[in-house]
Amino acid sequence: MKLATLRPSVVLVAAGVAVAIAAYVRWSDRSEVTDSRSQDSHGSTTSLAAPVRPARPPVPGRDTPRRPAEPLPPPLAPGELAEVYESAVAAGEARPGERAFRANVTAFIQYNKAFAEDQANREGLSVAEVQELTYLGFLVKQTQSWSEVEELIGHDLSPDQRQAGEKLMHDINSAFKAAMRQLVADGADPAHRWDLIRATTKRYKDDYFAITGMNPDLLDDLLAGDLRREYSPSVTPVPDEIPHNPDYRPPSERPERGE
Amino acid sequence: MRKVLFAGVIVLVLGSFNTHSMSEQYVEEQQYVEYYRDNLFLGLAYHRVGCLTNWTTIRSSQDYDGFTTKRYCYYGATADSVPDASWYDWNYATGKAQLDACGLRANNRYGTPNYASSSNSCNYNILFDCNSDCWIREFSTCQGWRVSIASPCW
Repeated sequence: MKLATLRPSVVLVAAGVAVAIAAYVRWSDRSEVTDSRSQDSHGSTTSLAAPVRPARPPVPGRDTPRRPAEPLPPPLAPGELAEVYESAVAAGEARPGERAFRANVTAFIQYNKAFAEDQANREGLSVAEVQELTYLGFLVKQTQSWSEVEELIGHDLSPDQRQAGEKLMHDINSAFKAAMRQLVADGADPAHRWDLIRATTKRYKDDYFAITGMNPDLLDDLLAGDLRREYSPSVTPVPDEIPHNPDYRPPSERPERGE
Repeated sequence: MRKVLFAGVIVLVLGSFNTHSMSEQYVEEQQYVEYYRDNLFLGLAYHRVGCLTNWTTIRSSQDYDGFTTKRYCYYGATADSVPDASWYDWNYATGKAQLDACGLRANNRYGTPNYASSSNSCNYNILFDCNSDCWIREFSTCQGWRVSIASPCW
């Protein structure tokens, strides 16, 4: 068919179809990135606990990263956790360090309740279980503080001991997650899930103590030390930029003798 | 007139597809830093790590993290996840040298030479400072896009 024989309406329809195709190609290329970013950034349609990775590579000049929502530290008053520790000591509690450490994790979960609920929904757990598992996660990470562990046990750990301690954390973490997800998939009773949590905590502590020479009392000191360092000058880094005191006046020069 | 109109349609369609393919070609050469979180015990405690990628695969076996010896970034592995961790953020990268420079800066800040598993200069504090959260914040800030973390990092 000669082009000249085409009717104007046919050409216009073809042009319209072509424009539609072109628009769709460009739109689909863009939307796969921008939509997923906005979803994971604002958490409105995707899980807070699992930001969604854009299916297509972001393109410079077109796509920009957006910070996904994350759990944040709770606004605690200075000394608040130390007061929990001191009150536990005054009450004669056996594990004041753990008490205060738990108080911090509780505040963390309460402040980030939406994240805890989201994580619980994703994994088929209760918020109370997520809180206990967050406590376990923070506790386990704290026990990997080798320099402080060495201070508590009074001698250096060998590289093999440090490596074994870290491997223990990863091994038990992986085994726990697989076992818990299996329990959830099997529809296990919550009591069985709590049994698994307690057994995992005990197993980690027992094996960790065997590797490092730590014990329950020293572990409590480790947790307490974490709290008592709050705002400690020895661990609080100097801010990058310290504002000058507006009232500062340079001292006058020392008078020379006889002036 | 019809010839001109028809030619315009052809140019529009071909141009659109050509722009699309050029875009694909360009992004294949673009590099990124992608961030992943290793969830501990299904709670809200994480270890965080960055990898150099081209969005399709990981382009360096260097883990950009501190306070652990666990390996995450394997050259050639797919970039949508790393072992035991889930994806959570990204930024453009100019290449490995950029990430290495920021890794060095974070290592110096937190006393983790060569991405050591513990600090030799600050007291590890899992809830507040001197931890892997703060390390990745220092790294990502240097790199150009500060990721969110759960520690205040005094």
